[in-house]
Amino acid sequence: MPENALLRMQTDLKRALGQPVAERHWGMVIDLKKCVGCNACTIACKVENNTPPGVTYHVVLEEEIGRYPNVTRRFLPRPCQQCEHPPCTRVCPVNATYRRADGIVVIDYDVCIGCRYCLAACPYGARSFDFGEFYTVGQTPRVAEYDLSSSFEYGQEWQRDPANRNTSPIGNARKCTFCLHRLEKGMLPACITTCIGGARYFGNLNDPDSLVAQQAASPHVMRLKEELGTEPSVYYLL
Amino acid sequence: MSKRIVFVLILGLVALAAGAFGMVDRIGMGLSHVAYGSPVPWALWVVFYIYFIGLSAGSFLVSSLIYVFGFKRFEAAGRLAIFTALVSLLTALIFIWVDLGRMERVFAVYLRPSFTSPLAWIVWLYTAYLFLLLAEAWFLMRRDFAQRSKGGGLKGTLYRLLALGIQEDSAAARAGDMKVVRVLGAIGVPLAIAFHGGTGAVFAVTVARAYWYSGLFPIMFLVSALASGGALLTQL
Repeated sequence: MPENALLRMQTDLKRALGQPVAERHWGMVIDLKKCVGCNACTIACKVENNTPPGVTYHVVLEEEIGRYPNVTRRFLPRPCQQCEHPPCTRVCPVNATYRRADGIVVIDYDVCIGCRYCLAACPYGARSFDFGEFYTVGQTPRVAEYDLSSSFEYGQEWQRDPANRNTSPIGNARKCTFCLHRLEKGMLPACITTCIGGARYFGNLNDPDSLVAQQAASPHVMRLKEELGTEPSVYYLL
Repeated sequence: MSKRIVFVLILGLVALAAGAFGMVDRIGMGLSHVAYGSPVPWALWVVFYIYFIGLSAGSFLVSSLIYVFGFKRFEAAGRLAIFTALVSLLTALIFIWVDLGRMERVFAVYLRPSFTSPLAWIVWLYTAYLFLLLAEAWFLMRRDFAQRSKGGGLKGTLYRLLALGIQEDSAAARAGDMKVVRVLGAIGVPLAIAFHGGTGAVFAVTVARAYWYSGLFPIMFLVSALASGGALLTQL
């Protein structure tokens, strides 16, 4: 029986966490042949990070190609690419967003002034701005619980308050962190564990024995907009 | 008061009330009412900001024609140009300030700036420009303040305050003022080119947006600033 990929990645993750932060390079490989476009990853991400309307860390781009009767659809899941040379961090006027030693680009919600320059600078549209919207507040007679429940990004509790829309993360730029808060607890990102097709791989790209590094070494691999020199940490298997 | 002034005053008060209502909503509700989203991160308020900052830079550069390069026949428009530059600059800064997600954190740009960001450069340059404009306007108006402060009453006191207590209004003092204006203007010309070119650079460095990503952008901004500033002063 072949080894279960999730269990293998779990062991890889434990091994990576035993190493110093600077020696990890978190990366993702997405096998486009296995993606069925079900958007389970998008939903898992929404639930895990409790993101409001208009804030999407992860989307699945859909495209229809060919002409009838030879038509097919193509899916491209797009988390943050966690670039090695991120165009978004350089333009931040207050150093609120930066690339960590382990390759994850993070935002300091306590510093971000909400100018949205990083949104304009990201070539992948991976950043969102929290305009302070809610799914049900002011929309339906009863306010849903999920609108008021907290998110735990960066290992902290963030409570969005409809009465005071000047509390972080409202008014801040927000983005995918490869579920950093889960990684620190030894758990894989939500989009990885939820993928029904087993199309996603995650781990330490610096560790040649990890499943993700082996997948990324395939000759059928590509990255998005390589011509911009951003060096993404997300690879796609064709 | 003439009928026209009353009408303008009422119009101004109505506009002010509408503005105050909007500001209260903006502070209470954050940006949740602006109705644009992450795919278009900058919208109308940024457009207004760019528009007014261009008018400010343009008006200032026109004023420098008079005070630095000695085009005497535009003399009459000089003070108006400086005043227009000041008003447009303040309007622009208010627009970009309310567009920030967290208005109260704006001082972070001074306290922990990142100089790899053109946005941080221009905020510093705008600040320098604001002080320069205030100084230049004061030196242009000082003699009038000094003359009028000789009258008594509330107006006299106000003018005395505005003149900062300096009563000198001889021709020699006027010449001295103009010398200072000339120096300030000379500093201002490269400053205006820097901050408005910098405003263009904010857009020009974004590799993600193909239509912005061009070395021509800062120059385009400067040319349109000159054209729009000149046009505004002609209209006024």
